[in-house]
Amino acid sequence: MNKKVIIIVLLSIIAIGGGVAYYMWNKPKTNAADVKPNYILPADSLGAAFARNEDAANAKFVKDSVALEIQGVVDTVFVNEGNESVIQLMTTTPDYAVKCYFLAGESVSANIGDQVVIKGFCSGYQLMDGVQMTKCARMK
Amino acid sequence: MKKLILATALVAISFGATAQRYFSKTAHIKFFSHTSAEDIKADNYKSTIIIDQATGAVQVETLIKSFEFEKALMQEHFNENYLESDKYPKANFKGKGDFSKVNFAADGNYSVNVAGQMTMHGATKDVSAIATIKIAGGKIDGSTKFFVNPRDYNVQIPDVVKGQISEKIEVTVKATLQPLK
Repeated sequence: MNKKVIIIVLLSIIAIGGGVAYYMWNKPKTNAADVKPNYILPADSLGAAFARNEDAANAKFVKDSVALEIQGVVDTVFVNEGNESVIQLMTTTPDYAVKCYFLAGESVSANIGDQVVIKGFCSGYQLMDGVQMTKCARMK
Repeated sequence: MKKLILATALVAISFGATAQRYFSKTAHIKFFSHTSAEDIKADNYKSTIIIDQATGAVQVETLIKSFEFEKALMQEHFNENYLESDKYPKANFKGKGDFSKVNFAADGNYSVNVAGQMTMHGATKDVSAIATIKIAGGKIDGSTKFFVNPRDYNVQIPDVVKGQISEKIEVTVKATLQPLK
């Protein structure tokens, strides 16, 4: 192999490596819209699972690789100080509402009482606040 | 004697009416790491804070996966490699502060020493900070700032990125508190 070929191969490797690194560093945040859900369940069942046994619910639902599709009725809609739209779904277990957070800047249209289907990733249960879902996408 | 009992009862009732618990479910927790190589910031606008004026108890709870970074890759590394949020999904602080001098019913500014224990990534450490409480027109704003060292919480940072993550991470907490009924 002559020197020219070696230089071309090395430069190609550097260029490809640099391109991949640049893409990875700047890859945009994405919501769960295109992710296949691992679990499909009503908001009430998700809230009840955390109320029953938080550790077991964490082990099952709180994983980067586990997406959830939640069906429920809209209880509250608001935008928080971080510019994240939030849809809170009704549950029958007090203090275990399911709060779905959308990516900052993403607008969401929903009315109280709407029957909705939302995909997202579960962050866990937080004292007084309920079960938090992030990177949410409204599917229905 | 009857008068004394009545007066004592009235004092007890009025104290009970003013000594309350205050809370926020939308507290903002920010951490900021500064090095010459890079600044890293993450925000969580969905944390819970509860203050009990009568006992001085302060409780803060936040979910690790609910922190938002500017870069998706930073957020992935934070959750998967550093805080291992699948295994340790939440962080909390339980402590005490002297809120006895704070009149939550009138405008004013107060500084309160708060000390307690913070649990994160499976490790619990003592933390203390000065919290500021500002009451204006019925709005109660609380804030504080303190520093943590990731190593104190057994957060393993690979040598290759050690120069990019500070050993003194600034944590800021801000919340608008409401009476807990």
